[in-house]
Amino acid sequence: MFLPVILWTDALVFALLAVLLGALLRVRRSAPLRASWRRVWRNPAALSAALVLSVFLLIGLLDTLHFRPALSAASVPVTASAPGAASASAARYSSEVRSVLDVLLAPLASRSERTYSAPLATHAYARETIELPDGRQVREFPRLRHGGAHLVQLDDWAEDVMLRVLRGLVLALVLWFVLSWMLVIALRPQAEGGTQDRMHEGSRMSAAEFSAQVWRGQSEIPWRSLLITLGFLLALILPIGMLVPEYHVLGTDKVGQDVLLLSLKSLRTALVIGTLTTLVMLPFALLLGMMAGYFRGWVDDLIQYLYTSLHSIPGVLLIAAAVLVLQVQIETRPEWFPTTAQRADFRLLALCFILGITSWTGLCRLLRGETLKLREFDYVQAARAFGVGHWRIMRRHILPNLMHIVLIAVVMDFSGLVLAEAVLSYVGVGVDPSMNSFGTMINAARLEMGREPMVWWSLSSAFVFMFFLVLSANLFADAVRDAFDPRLHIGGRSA
Amino acid sequence: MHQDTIKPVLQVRGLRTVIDGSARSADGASMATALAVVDGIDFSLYPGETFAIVGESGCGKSITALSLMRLLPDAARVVAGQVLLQGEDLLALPESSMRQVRGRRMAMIFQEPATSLNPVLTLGTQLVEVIERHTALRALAARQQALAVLQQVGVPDAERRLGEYPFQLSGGLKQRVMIAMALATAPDVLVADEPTTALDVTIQAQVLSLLARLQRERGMAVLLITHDLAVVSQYAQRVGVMHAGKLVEVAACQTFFASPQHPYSQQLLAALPRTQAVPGPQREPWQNNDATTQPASLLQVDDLRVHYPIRAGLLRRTVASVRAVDGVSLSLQAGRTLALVGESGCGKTTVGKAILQLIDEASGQVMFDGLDLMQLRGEALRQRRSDFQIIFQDPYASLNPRMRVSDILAEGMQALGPRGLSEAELAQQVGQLLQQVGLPEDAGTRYAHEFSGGQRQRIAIARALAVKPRLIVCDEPTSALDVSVQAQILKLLLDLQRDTGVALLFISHNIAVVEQVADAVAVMYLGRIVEQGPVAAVLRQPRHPYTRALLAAVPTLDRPMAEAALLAGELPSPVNPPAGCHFHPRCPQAQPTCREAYPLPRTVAAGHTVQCVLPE
Repeated sequence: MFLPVILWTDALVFALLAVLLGALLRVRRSAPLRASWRRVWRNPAALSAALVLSVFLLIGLLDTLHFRPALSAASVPVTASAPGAASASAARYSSEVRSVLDVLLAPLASRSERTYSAPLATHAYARETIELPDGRQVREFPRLRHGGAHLVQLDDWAEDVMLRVLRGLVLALVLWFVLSWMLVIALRPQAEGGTQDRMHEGSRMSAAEFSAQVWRGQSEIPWRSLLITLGFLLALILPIGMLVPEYHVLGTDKVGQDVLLLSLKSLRTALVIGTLTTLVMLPFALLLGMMAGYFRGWVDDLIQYLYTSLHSIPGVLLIAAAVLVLQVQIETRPEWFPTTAQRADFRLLALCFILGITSWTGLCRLLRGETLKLREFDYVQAARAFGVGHWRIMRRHILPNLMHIVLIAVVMDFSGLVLAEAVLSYVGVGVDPSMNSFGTMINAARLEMGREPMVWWSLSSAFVFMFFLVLSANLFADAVRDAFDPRLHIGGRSA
Repeated sequence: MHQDTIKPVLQVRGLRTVIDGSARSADGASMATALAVVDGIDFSLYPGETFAIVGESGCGKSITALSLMRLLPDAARVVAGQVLLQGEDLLALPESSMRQVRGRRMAMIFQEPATSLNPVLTLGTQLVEVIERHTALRALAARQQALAVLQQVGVPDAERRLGEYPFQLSGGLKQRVMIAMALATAPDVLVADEPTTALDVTIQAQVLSLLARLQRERGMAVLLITHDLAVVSQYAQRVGVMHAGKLVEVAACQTFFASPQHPYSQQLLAALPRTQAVPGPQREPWQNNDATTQPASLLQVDDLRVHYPIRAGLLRRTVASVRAVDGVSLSLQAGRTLALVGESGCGKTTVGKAILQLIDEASGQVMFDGLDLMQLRGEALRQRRSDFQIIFQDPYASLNPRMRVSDILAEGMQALGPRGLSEAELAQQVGQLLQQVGLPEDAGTRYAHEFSGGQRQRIAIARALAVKPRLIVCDEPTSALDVSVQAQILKLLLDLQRDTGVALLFISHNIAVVEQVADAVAVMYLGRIVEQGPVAAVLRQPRHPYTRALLAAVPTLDRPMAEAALLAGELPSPVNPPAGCHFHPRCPQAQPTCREAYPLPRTVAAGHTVQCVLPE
């Protein structure tokens, strides 16, 4: 049994998901919105980016489902006789909060080494003094406790790795074929050019015909690029899956933790910081920016003074001060946080808020300028001539025409915020040390890059994960912006 | 006539320019398409002549000009044809040699003088750069040459202007400087792409006659690209009509205007509103009958002022004010049309917006149906707003690109109409409106950008009509449109006025259009009305010298332009208008008394007043 735990950031992530689901329902009901999204999916890059992004999101979500496992019954004496004790007997849970991802990755977490080891290595990265059974001491690379421990003959290493990769690739190929076929069967459209009664029967295009169409890139939605991306993903994930049980695919860090595990766990932190901070920042930037640009006069002066003064305080300093104050609060109130995870999570949430409150100035300034321009547009004047209220004008005429800026700024900020987290962790005011994040990984890499021989895999893993996360988010946002900008797909008007 | 004796300086043979794009076929696959914007045109240009290419927007005339100069945007490319400049094929030249041709042998003037000059360099620097690039003149000699051309194009105080920046110049002066730059190296061919479209009529007349003079003096060939047939008839010797990328008719000007051959040319000429013509069939007789009964004014504007304060210093104290509108009085009866005419910057749009209570700085009295709108605030004003609406000049800027047409039309009804309109009622009313302005029924579900300029203007008209107004302020509703579309929109407005009895305040700079639609005219100059009266009286017997000059500057097909009637100078700044009569510095008949006080309005005939001291 287990006790589900909803941390603060979990709640916000779920709220965000609920909003997204609500938006999805709205899109399903409205034909024009459906058409716009159809345009998004017609973009091959967007389709591929969405797939990659959804893999990241899935990992992040799995890491968001938290619970406290029940302690084994043996350790809790059960007294069934007293009815009043029933509640007490049921509520014995571990103080450690785990996520579904932790459970899935439990084998990885349990097989830690003593210290650094290179990716796929069988021996430690540094020489150690080992005492032989006969009492002599030698300095050599000791075997790892888990990495390649199953190998009897070390010469088999290359063969073993190769075999596992091959097996993974073959599995990937098979799985890819099965998935593609299922996709083709499920998605083939109504037969084209069919006679009236054939249409009536609802007959569909034959799967072979449709797959040929997909393969030639002629299907309406570029399924081909989706399938290619899927193929690459499978060819990446499955061989790694094959290697994981016996090797540290991305090596281990200073305390011997698997870097792959760290990277996967860091994804949630990056996603939470990227999205929740934006969520905190947007209302400030949107509301204040629009108000300043629209009302002008003293409202404008006030808001301008506000963001100019906020902007002129060095950002890191302000954040560091806020985080330090908060840290003191957290440490003097241990009763607030029953578990360490809750404490770490609270600190992450606070970091999101602090980053959000200090980073809205740039977007606000941008939106103010754009609103200044938009408010003079004839359609705003026409709305004023109709006696439409100020807030309604802002909502219907100004806000939609600002959304492209917002979307771009949000995606740009996403990568910036992930990096800001790294900088803050470097200064020591970032996320809780017990929480994995790319920032802490990069921070650790500072020392690792300086030693000889260099430890490169921590930084590279953080780099590759962040690169693909930000890239896919960028590509996807770009496609969304294009699809929703009505000025970009003008039908029938030339030159 | 030319063909036998003189060799053409520029010959274009079978020029074909395409714009690459991608389109989606029915099955959704994307394919590369090449749209032929210029589709195989041939023409020749002889020394000393002006050849005009006329056509509506989108017909490919500007792309033709850019193809000749090889300045096409990236998406466009020339796929066939020859451009022979004195026998040398420009299209075959390498880019480095082409740079020698551009500016040296073939120069170009662009439409928008405001953006054709580099704002951070002085005029002198920009002129000298061109001269040093293409001639052997250097340093002081180049500067002398720059000064000489500036004087040639009639820039007053040329010496000082050389050290000034573009923002210190008015639009007309900037275009003169552009012409000076083009002429500085004495090119053989001048390509003028809509050189006066961005300018006012009086300035347009100045610039065009300057071009004509320079051409006479230098024997240069001019390729004039324009949409304005009247300009063509005044300034060109030969004309080519362009339609959908093809030159459909090439003829000498006189023969062309006497008897256009191609159906498209005939259509184009027929759509042109003509001044001094007999009132068109659009003027319905019932309006004339109405005039005798003298109904009470629907709109009575008294002493309307809009002064924008100019603030400076730490405490933002008002140091001066821009007198955009300075004491305007108007009156308009129900079902009638009053036209407000004047050059850009004279304050006519501000008058329109001030009447609609869209400008906070306005003062004075605006009586609408017996109620002073200036005194109304908040909810009281909001409830009256359905009575007066506005149609804007630019149909591309006046419709929200993010809203569907049905939402645009429903906005006014939701804000001002009866409470609790159901979706179905709204949809039905939107359908009715669309039908009323002659748009297809399915237009409501589309976005505004899917329509052409004329259709968009129809949407804007439907939006104004949605709340059943009694007064519509039409702010240059047709000046962004092609002539054929302009005629349709004017007809629509007149039909709507006949059907609904709405009063129109028609703001325009186009005298020909005004003559077609208006019952009465008010002429504005620098924030004040100088003359107003019935349309026939003001346009046939103008009393104010400014009205006369304005009428004379309008290019027409029917009479030649009198160069003597051209107004010198430009509109003064409304920050400190000239003392006395604002017009006296430009007035050919100015007298000493004009400098002393602004003349009082004087009634010269029934309903015809003029603010001028001149007897007559």
